[in-house]
Amino acid sequence: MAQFNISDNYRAMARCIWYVLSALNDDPSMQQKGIVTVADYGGKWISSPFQFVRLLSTFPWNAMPIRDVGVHCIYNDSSKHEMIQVIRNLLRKEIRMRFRLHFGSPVETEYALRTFGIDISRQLYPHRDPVVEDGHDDASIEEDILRRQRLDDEWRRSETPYCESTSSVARFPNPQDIIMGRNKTVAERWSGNILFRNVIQQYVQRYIEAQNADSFRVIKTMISIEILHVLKNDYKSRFLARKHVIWHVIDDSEAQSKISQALRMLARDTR
Amino acid sequence: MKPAGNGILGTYTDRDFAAEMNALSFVERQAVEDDIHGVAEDIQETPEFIADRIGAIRQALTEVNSAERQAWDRAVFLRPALDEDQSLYLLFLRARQFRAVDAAVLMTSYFRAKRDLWGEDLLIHRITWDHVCTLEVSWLMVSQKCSGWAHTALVP
Repeated sequence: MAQFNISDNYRAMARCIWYVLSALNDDPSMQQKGIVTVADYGGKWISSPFQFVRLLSTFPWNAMPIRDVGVHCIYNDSSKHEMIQVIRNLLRKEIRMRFRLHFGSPVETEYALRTFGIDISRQLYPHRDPVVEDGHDDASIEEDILRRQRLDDEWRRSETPYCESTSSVARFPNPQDIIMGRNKTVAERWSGNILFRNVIQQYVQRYIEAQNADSFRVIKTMISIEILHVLKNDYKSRFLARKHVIWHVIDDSEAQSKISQALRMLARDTR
Repeated sequence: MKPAGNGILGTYTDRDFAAEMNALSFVERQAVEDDIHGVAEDIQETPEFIADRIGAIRQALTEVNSAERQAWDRAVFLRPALDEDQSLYLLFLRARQFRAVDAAVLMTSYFRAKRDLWGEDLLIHRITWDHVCTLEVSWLMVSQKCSGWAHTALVP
Protein backbone atom coordinates (compact mmCIF):
# COMPACT_ATOMS: atom_id res chain seq x y z
CA MET A 1 0.00 0.00 0.00
CA ALA A 2 1.35 3.40 -0.92
CA GLN A 3 2.34 5.54 2.02
CA PHE A 4 2.28 9.25 1.36
CA ASN A 5 5.74 10.07 2.65
CA ILE A 6 6.22 12.29 -0.32
CA SER A 7 6.79 15.96 -0.84
CA ASP A 8 3.96 18.46 -0.37
CA ASN A 9 3.76 18.93 -4.09
CA TYR A 10 3.00 15.28 -4.75
CA ARG A 11 0.57 15.20 -1.86
CA ALA A 12 -1.21 18.24 -3.28
CA MET A 13 -1.55 16.66 -6.69
CA ALA A 14 -2.74 13.39 -5.15
CA ARG A 15 -5.36 15.31 -3.14
CA CYS A 16 -6.38 17.14 -6.26
CA ILE A 17 -6.95 13.84 -8.10
CA TRP A 18 -8.83 12.49 -5.06
CA TYR A 19 -11.12 15.53 -5.03
CA VAL A 20 -11.91 15.23 -8.74
CA LEU A 21 -12.63 11.50 -8.51
CA SER A 22 -14.83 12.02 -5.45
CA ALA A 23 -16.73 14.73 -7.29
CA LEU A 24 -17.45 12.29 -10.12
CA ASN A 25 -18.86 9.82 -7.63
CA ASP A 26 -21.49 12.25 -6.35
CA ASP A 27 -23.70 11.25 -9.24
CA PRO A 28 -25.43 7.86 -8.65
CA SER A 29 -25.79 7.25 -12.39
CA MET A 30 -22.02 7.66 -12.67
CA GLN A 31 -21.61 5.02 -9.98
CA GLN A 32 -23.93 2.64 -11.81
CA LYS A 33 -22.75 3.11 -15.37
CA GLY A 34 -19.10 3.70 -14.60
CA ILE A 35 -16.75 6.15 -16.21
CA VAL A 36 -14.80 6.23 -19.42
CA THR A 37 -11.55 8.11 -19.15
CA VAL A 38 -9.86 9.58 -22.17
CA ALA A 39 -6.35 10.66 -21.28
CA ASP A 40 -4.54 12.83 -23.79
CA TYR A 41 -0.77 12.54 -23.63
CA GLY A 42 -0.39 14.60 -26.77
CA GLY A 43 0.84 17.86 -25.27
CA LYS A 44 3.86 18.86 -23.28
CA TRP A 45 4.61 17.22 -19.95
CA ILE A 46 3.75 19.36 -16.93
CA SER A 47 6.83 18.08 -15.18
CA SER A 48 9.34 15.44 -16.16
CA PRO A 49 7.85 12.10 -17.21
CA PHE A 50 9.70 10.48 -14.30
CA GLN A 51 7.98 12.78 -11.80
CA PHE A 52 4.64 12.15 -13.46
CA VAL A 53 5.01 8.39 -13.17
CA ARG A 54 6.23 8.75 -9.60
CA LEU A 55 3.05 10.60 -8.75
CA LEU A 56 0.87 8.04 -10.47
CA SER A 57 2.62 5.22 -8.63
CA THR A 58 1.97 6.84 -5.25
CA PHE A 59 -1.70 7.59 -5.82
CA PRO A 60 -3.97 4.80 -4.52
CA TRP A 61 -5.82 4.21 -7.80
CA ASN A 62 -6.92 0.78 -6.73
CA ALA A 63 -8.56 2.12 -3.57
CA MET A 64 -10.91 4.50 -5.38
CA PRO A 65 -14.55 3.36 -5.51
CA ILE A 66 -14.94 3.94 -9.20
CA ARG A 67 -16.18 1.59 -11.85
CA ASP A 68 -13.82 2.01 -14.76
CA VAL A 69 -15.47 0.72 -17.87
CA GLY A 70 -12.82 2.02 -20.19
CA VAL A 71 -9.58 3.94 -20.25
CA HIS A 72 -8.47 5.33 -23.57
CA CYS A 73 -5.04 6.80 -23.87
CA ILE A 74 -4.21 8.90 -26.91
CA TYR A 75 -0.76 10.11 -27.90
CA ASN A 76 1.14 11.18 -30.97
CA ASP A 77 4.75 10.78 -29.93
CA SER A 78 6.17 7.26 -30.05
CA SER A 79 8.76 8.12 -27.40
CA LYS A 80 5.90 8.22 -24.89
CA HIS A 81 4.83 4.68 -25.63
CA GLU A 82 7.01 3.07 -23.01
CA MET A 83 6.02 5.61 -20.37
CA ILE A 84 2.35 4.89 -21.02
CA GLN A 85 3.00 1.17 -20.73
CA VAL A 86 4.60 1.81 -17.33
CA ILE A 87 1.48 3.71 -16.27
CA ARG A 88 -0.68 0.85 -17.52
CA ASN A 89 1.27 -1.59 -15.40
CA LEU A 90 0.34 0.37 -12.27
CA LEU A 91 -3.34 -0.32 -12.71
CA ARG A 92 -5.18 -3.32 -11.42
CA LYS A 93 -5.93 -6.14 -13.81
CA GLU A 94 -9.56 -5.23 -14.43
CA ILE A 95 -8.59 -1.75 -15.62
CA ARG A 96 -5.59 -3.01 -17.61
CA MET A 97 -8.01 -5.20 -19.57
CA ARG A 98 -10.08 -2.13 -20.39
CA PHE A 99 -7.11 0.05 -21.28
CA ARG A 100 -6.76 0.94 -24.95
CA LEU A 101 -3.94 2.86 -26.60
CA HIS A 102 -4.57 5.09 -29.62
CA PHE A 103 -1.55 6.41 -31.44
CA GLY A 104 -1.79 9.06 -34.14
CA SER A 105 -2.75 12.59 -35.04
CA PRO A 106 -5.73 14.28 -33.36
CA VAL A 107 -8.01 13.41 -36.28
CA GLU A 108 -6.89 9.78 -36.30
CA THR A 109 -7.36 9.34 -32.58
CA GLU A 110 -10.70 11.09 -32.71
CA TYR A 111 -11.93 8.60 -35.29
CA ALA A 112 -10.41 5.70 -33.36
CA LEU A 113 -12.42 6.74 -30.34
CA ARG A 114 -15.59 6.98 -32.41
CA THR A 115 -15.33 3.25 -33.04
CA PHE A 116 -15.87 2.88 -29.30
CA GLY A 117 -18.89 5.18 -29.39
CA ILE A 118 -17.03 8.12 -27.90
CA ASP A 119 -17.34 11.46 -29.61
CA ILE A 120 -14.90 13.89 -28.11
CA SER A 121 -14.51 16.22 -31.03
CA ARG A 122 -15.56 19.21 -28.90
CA GLN A 123 -13.74 18.33 -25.71
CA LEU A 124 -10.46 17.18 -27.15
CA TYR A 125 -7.48 19.48 -27.35
CA PRO A 126 -9.05 22.65 -25.94
CA HIS A 127 -5.56 23.96 -25.17
CA ARG A 128 -4.48 23.60 -28.80
CA ASP A 129 -7.59 25.13 -30.27
CA PRO A 130 -8.60 28.04 -28.07
CA VAL A 131 -11.55 29.00 -30.31
CA VAL A 132 -14.58 27.45 -28.69
CA GLU A 133 -17.71 28.00 -30.78
CA ASP A 134 -20.21 28.98 -28.11
CA GLY A 135 -18.32 28.69 -24.85
CA HIS A 136 -20.14 25.42 -24.13
CA ASP A 137 -17.12 23.81 -22.48
CA ASP A 138 -16.53 26.62 -20.03
CA ALA A 139 -20.20 26.65 -19.11
CA SER A 140 -20.33 22.92 -18.46
CA ILE A 141 -17.21 23.05 -16.27
CA GLU A 142 -18.72 25.93 -14.32
CA GLU A 143 -21.98 24.03 -13.97
CA ASP A 144 -20.10 20.99 -12.59
CA ILE A 145 -18.31 23.17 -10.05
CA LEU A 146 -21.60 24.79 -8.97
CA ARG A 147 -23.31 21.40 -8.63
CA ARG A 148 -20.47 20.15 -6.47
CA GLN A 149 -20.58 23.31 -4.33
CA ARG A 150 -24.35 22.90 -3.87
CA LEU A 151 -23.83 19.35 -2.60
CA ASP A 152 -21.05 20.55 -0.29
CA ASP A 153 -23.36 23.23 1.11
CA GLU A 154 -26.18 20.72 1.65
CA TRP A 155 -23.79 18.42 3.45
CA ARG A 156 -22.49 21.26 5.62
CA ARG A 157 -26.04 22.36 6.50
CA SER A 158 -26.99 18.85 7.56
CA GLU A 159 -23.87 18.44 9.70
CA THR A 160 -23.59 21.87 11.32
CA PRO A 161 -26.26 21.43 14.04
CA TYR A 162 -24.32 18.44 15.35
CA CYS A 163 -20.94 20.12 15.22
CA GLU A 164 -21.77 23.19 17.27
CA SER A 165 -20.38 23.36 20.77
CA THR A 166 -23.90 23.88 22.18
CA SER A 167 -25.42 20.70 20.74
CA SER A 168 -26.16 17.83 23.09
CA VAL A 169 -25.62 15.04 20.58
CA ALA A 170 -23.01 14.64 17.88
CA ARG A 171 -22.75 12.51 14.77
CA PHE A 172 -18.98 12.47 15.13
CA PRO A 173 -16.38 14.19 17.31
CA ASN A 174 -14.89 17.46 16.11
CA PRO A 175 -11.08 17.54 16.20
CA GLN A 176 -11.16 19.60 19.42
CA ASP A 177 -13.72 17.38 21.19
CA ILE A 178 -12.60 15.14 24.03
CA ILE A 179 -13.50 11.49 23.79
CA MET A 180 -14.33 9.69 27.00
CA GLY A 181 -13.75 6.00 27.52
CA ARG A 182 -11.05 3.56 28.30
CA ASN A 183 -10.08 2.83 24.72
CA LYS A 184 -6.43 3.83 24.91
CA THR A 185 -5.71 3.75 21.21
CA VAL A 186 -8.47 6.28 20.67
CA ALA A 187 -7.86 8.42 23.72
CA GLU A 188 -4.14 8.78 23.22
CA ARG A 189 -4.21 9.64 19.55
CA TRP A 190 -7.30 11.81 19.20
CA SER A 191 -6.39 15.49 18.71
CA GLY A 192 -8.98 16.67 21.27
CA ASN A 193 -7.57 14.34 23.92
CA ILE A 194 -4.04 15.58 23.19
CA LEU A 195 -5.33 19.14 23.63
CA PHE A 196 -7.00 18.09 26.90
CA ARG A 197 -3.75 16.64 28.23
CA ASN A 198 -1.83 19.79 27.26
CA VAL A 199 -4.33 22.02 29.05
CA ILE A 200 -4.22 19.81 32.18
CA GLN A 201 -0.43 20.01 32.05
CA GLN A 202 -0.58 23.80 32.32
CA TYR A 203 -2.55 23.58 35.60
CA VAL A 204 -0.89 20.63 37.27
CA GLN A 205 1.81 22.69 39.00
CA ARG A 206 -0.82 24.89 40.61
CA TYR A 207 -2.66 21.76 41.70
CA ILE A 208 0.46 20.27 43.31
CA GLU A 209 1.31 23.50 45.12
CA ALA A 210 -2.20 23.71 46.54
CA GLN A 211 -2.17 20.19 47.92
CA ASN A 212 -0.75 21.23 51.30
CA ALA A 213 -3.12 24.16 51.70
CA ASP A 214 -6.07 23.97 54.11
CA SER A 215 -8.49 24.96 51.41
CA PHE A 216 -7.24 22.33 48.95
CA ARG A 217 -10.75 20.99 48.32
CA VAL A 218 -12.00 24.40 47.28
CA ILE A 219 -8.90 25.18 45.20
CA LYS A 220 -8.99 21.92 43.26
CA THR A 221 -12.66 22.42 42.46
CA MET A 222 -11.89 25.93 41.24
CA ILE A 223 -9.04 24.64 39.08
CA SER A 224 -11.24 22.03 37.44
CA ILE A 225 -13.99 24.61 36.85
CA GLU A 226 -11.43 26.92 35.26
CA ILE A 227 -10.11 24.14 32.98
CA LEU A 228 -13.64 23.26 31.97
CA HIS A 229 -14.32 26.91 31.18
CA VAL A 230 -11.14 27.20 29.10
CA LEU A 231 -11.89 24.04 27.13
CA LYS A 232 -15.51 24.93 26.49
CA ASN A 233 -15.10 28.61 25.69
CA ASP A 234 -11.61 29.05 24.30
CA TYR A 235 -11.31 25.78 22.39
CA LYS A 236 -15.03 25.02 21.88
CA SER A 237 -14.41 21.48 23.07
CA ARG A 238 -17.12 19.07 24.11
CA PHE A 239 -16.78 15.98 26.29
CA LEU A 240 -18.26 13.13 24.31
CA ALA A 241 -19.25 9.66 25.37
CA ARG A 242 -20.44 7.07 22.89
CA LYS A 243 -23.67 5.36 23.83
CA HIS A 244 -24.72 2.76 21.26
CA VAL A 245 -24.52 4.56 17.94
CA ILE A 246 -24.69 8.18 19.09
CA TRP A 247 -22.17 10.46 20.67
CA HIS A 248 -23.65 12.24 23.71
CA VAL A 249 -22.26 15.39 25.23
CA ILE A 250 -21.74 14.66 28.91
CA ASP A 251 -22.86 17.23 31.47
CA ASP A 252 -20.57 19.68 33.23
CA SER A 253 -20.44 17.89 36.59
CA GLU A 254 -19.35 14.66 34.93
CA ALA A 255 -16.81 16.53 32.79
CA GLN A 256 -15.51 18.25 35.91
CA SER A 257 -14.98 14.92 37.65
CA LYS A 258 -13.06 13.70 34.58
CA ILE A 259 -10.85 16.78 34.77
CA SER A 260 -10.25 16.24 38.51
CA GLN A 261 -9.31 12.65 37.83
CA ALA A 262 -6.88 13.66 35.08
CA LEU A 263 -5.34 16.30 37.35
CA ARG A 264 -4.96 13.81 40.17
CA MET A 265 -3.27 11.25 37.96
CA LEU A 266 -0.94 13.73 36.33
CA ALA A 267 0.01 15.23 39.71
CA ARG A 268 0.84 11.76 40.98
CA ASP A 269 3.02 11.04 37.95
CA THR A 270 4.73 14.43 38.18
CA ARG A 271 5.73 14.10 41.81
CA MET B 1 0.11 -17.25 -14.51
CA LYS B 2 3.19 -15.11 -14.98
CA PRO B 3 2.64 -11.66 -13.44
CA ALA B 4 2.33 -8.85 -15.94
CA GLY B 5 5.16 -6.42 -16.49
CA ASN B 6 8.54 -6.29 -14.83
CA GLY B 7 7.95 -5.24 -11.25
CA ILE B 8 5.76 -2.39 -10.07
CA LEU B 9 7.34 0.16 -12.39
CA GLY B 10 8.10 -2.27 -15.19
CA THR B 11 6.66 -1.77 -18.62
CA TYR B 12 3.59 -3.67 -19.63
CA THR B 13 3.98 -5.03 -23.10
CA ASP B 14 1.34 -5.98 -25.63
CA ARG B 15 2.42 -9.58 -25.03
CA ASP B 16 1.51 -9.24 -21.35
CA PHE B 17 -1.83 -7.82 -22.36
CA ALA B 18 -2.49 -10.68 -24.78
CA ALA B 19 -1.50 -13.24 -22.14
CA GLU B 20 -3.87 -11.70 -19.60
CA MET B 21 -6.72 -11.51 -22.09
CA ASN B 22 -6.20 -15.13 -23.10
CA ALA B 23 -6.29 -16.22 -19.49
CA LEU B 24 -9.83 -14.86 -19.12
CA SER B 25 -12.84 -17.07 -19.59
CA PHE B 26 -15.16 -16.42 -22.53
CA VAL B 27 -17.71 -14.71 -20.28
CA GLU B 28 -15.08 -12.49 -18.66
CA ARG B 29 -13.62 -11.52 -22.02
CA GLN B 30 -17.07 -10.70 -23.35
CA ALA B 31 -17.73 -8.54 -20.27
CA VAL B 32 -14.54 -6.59 -20.98
CA GLU B 33 -15.53 -6.06 -24.61
CA ASP B 34 -19.07 -5.02 -23.66
CA ASP B 35 -17.73 -2.52 -21.15
CA ILE B 36 -15.20 -0.99 -23.46
CA HIS B 37 -17.80 -0.57 -26.22
CA GLY B 38 -20.41 0.78 -23.81
CA VAL B 39 -22.95 -1.98 -24.44
CA ALA B 40 -22.80 -3.76 -21.07
CA GLU B 41 -26.18 -4.38 -19.52
CA ASP B 42 -26.93 -2.50 -16.33
CA ILE B 43 -27.34 -4.58 -13.18
CA GLN B 44 -30.96 -4.42 -12.05
CA GLU B 45 -30.86 -2.90 -8.59
CA THR B 46 -34.08 -4.16 -7.03
CA PRO B 47 -34.60 -3.47 -3.30
CA GLU B 48 -34.26 -7.20 -2.52
CA PHE B 49 -31.04 -7.48 -4.48
CA ILE B 50 -29.57 -4.41 -2.80
CA ALA B 51 -30.55 -5.64 0.67
CA ASP B 52 -28.98 -9.01 -0.06
CA ARG B 53 -25.73 -7.48 -1.33
CA ILE B 54 -25.47 -5.05 1.57
CA GLY B 55 -25.87 -7.98 3.96
CA ALA B 56 -23.12 -9.79 2.07
CA ILE B 57 -20.67 -6.87 2.13
CA ARG B 58 -21.23 -6.34 5.86
CA GLN B 59 -20.50 -10.00 6.41
CA ALA B 60 -17.44 -9.79 4.14
CA LEU B 61 -16.17 -6.79 6.10
CA THR B 62 -16.09 -8.82 9.29
CA GLU B 63 -13.91 -11.36 7.53
CA VAL B 64 -11.31 -8.87 6.33
CA ASN B 65 -8.02 -9.01 8.23
CA SER B 66 -8.26 -6.73 11.28
CA ALA B 67 -5.04 -4.90 10.39
CA GLU B 68 -6.44 -4.08 6.95
CA ARG B 69 -9.74 -3.03 8.50
CA GLN B 70 -8.22 -0.68 11.07
CA ALA B 71 -9.07 2.57 9.30
CA TRP B 72 -12.63 1.44 8.58
CA ASP B 73 -13.12 0.38 12.22
CA ARG B 74 -11.80 3.74 13.31
CA ALA B 75 -14.18 5.54 10.98
CA VAL B 76 -17.15 3.58 12.32
CA PHE B 77 -16.07 4.26 15.89
CA LEU B 78 -15.91 7.99 15.23
CA ARG B 79 -19.06 8.11 13.15
CA PRO B 80 -21.32 5.19 14.10
CA ALA B 81 -23.91 6.10 11.46
CA LEU B 82 -21.44 5.01 8.74
CA ASP B 83 -22.17 1.40 9.59
CA GLU B 84 -25.82 1.94 8.63
CA ASP B 85 -25.19 4.13 5.61
CA GLN B 86 -26.62 2.22 2.65
CA SER B 87 -25.42 4.73 0.08
CA LEU B 88 -21.85 4.21 1.23
CA TYR B 89 -22.07 0.43 0.84
CA LEU B 90 -23.74 0.91 -2.54
CA LEU B 91 -20.90 3.12 -3.74
CA PHE B 92 -18.38 0.34 -3.17
CA LEU B 93 -20.66 -2.44 -4.38
CA ARG B 94 -21.30 -0.62 -7.64
CA ALA B 95 -17.59 -0.05 -8.13
CA ARG B 96 -17.05 -3.82 -7.98
CA GLN B 97 -20.25 -4.82 -9.75
CA PHE B 98 -21.84 -6.10 -6.54
CA ARG B 99 -19.11 -8.64 -5.73
CA ALA B 100 -19.32 -8.34 -1.95
CA VAL B 101 -15.85 -9.62 -1.03
CA ASP B 102 -14.09 -7.38 -3.56
CA ALA B 103 -16.20 -4.42 -2.46
CA ALA B 104 -15.31 -5.05 1.20
CA VAL B 105 -11.61 -5.11 0.37
CA LEU B 106 -12.01 -1.94 -1.69
CA MET B 107 -13.82 -0.25 1.18
CA THR B 108 -11.07 -0.98 3.70
CA SER B 109 -8.39 0.13 1.21
CA TYR B 110 -10.30 3.33 0.52
CA PHE B 111 -10.49 4.32 4.18
CA ARG B 112 -6.84 3.45 4.71
CA ALA B 113 -5.82 5.58 1.74
CA LYS B 114 -8.08 8.43 2.87
CA ARG B 115 -6.52 8.42 6.32
CA ASP B 116 -3.02 8.42 4.81
CA LEU B 117 -3.76 11.24 2.40
CA TRP B 118 -6.16 13.51 4.31
CA GLY B 119 -5.40 12.65 7.92
CA GLU B 120 -7.54 11.21 10.65
CA ASP B 121 -9.60 14.36 11.20
CA LEU B 122 -11.05 14.12 7.71
CA LEU B 123 -11.44 10.35 7.69
CA ILE B 124 -15.18 10.59 8.33
CA HIS B 125 -15.84 13.80 6.43
CA ARG B 126 -16.88 14.55 2.93
CA ILE B 127 -13.95 16.15 1.14
CA THR B 128 -15.19 19.57 0.09
CA TRP B 129 -13.69 22.45 -1.82
CA ASP B 130 -12.73 24.03 1.54
CA HIS B 131 -10.35 21.16 2.22
CA VAL B 132 -8.53 21.69 -1.05
CA CYS B 133 -5.74 24.20 -0.41
CA THR B 134 -4.22 26.73 -2.81
CA LEU B 135 -1.44 24.41 -3.94
CA GLU B 136 -3.98 21.77 -4.92
CA VAL B 137 -6.15 24.27 -6.75
CA SER B 138 -3.12 25.39 -8.75
CA TRP B 139 -2.52 21.76 -9.76
CA LEU B 140 -6.12 21.51 -10.85
CA MET B 141 -5.78 24.59 -13.05
CA VAL B 142 -2.44 23.46 -14.49
CA SER B 143 -3.81 20.03 -15.37
CA GLN B 144 -6.63 21.64 -17.34
CA LYS B 145 -4.31 23.84 -19.34
CA CYS B 146 -1.46 21.44 -20.06
CA SER B 147 -1.07 17.91 -21.17
CA GLY B 148 -2.93 15.27 -19.27
CA TRP B 149 -6.30 16.77 -20.13
CA ALA B 150 -8.88 14.18 -19.36
CA HIS B 151 -12.53 14.13 -20.23
CA THR B 152 -14.91 11.84 -18.41
CA ALA B 153 -18.33 10.96 -19.67
CA LEU B 154 -21.17 8.57 -18.99
CA VAL B 155 -21.16 5.47 -21.07
CA PRO B 156 -23.99 5.77 -23.63
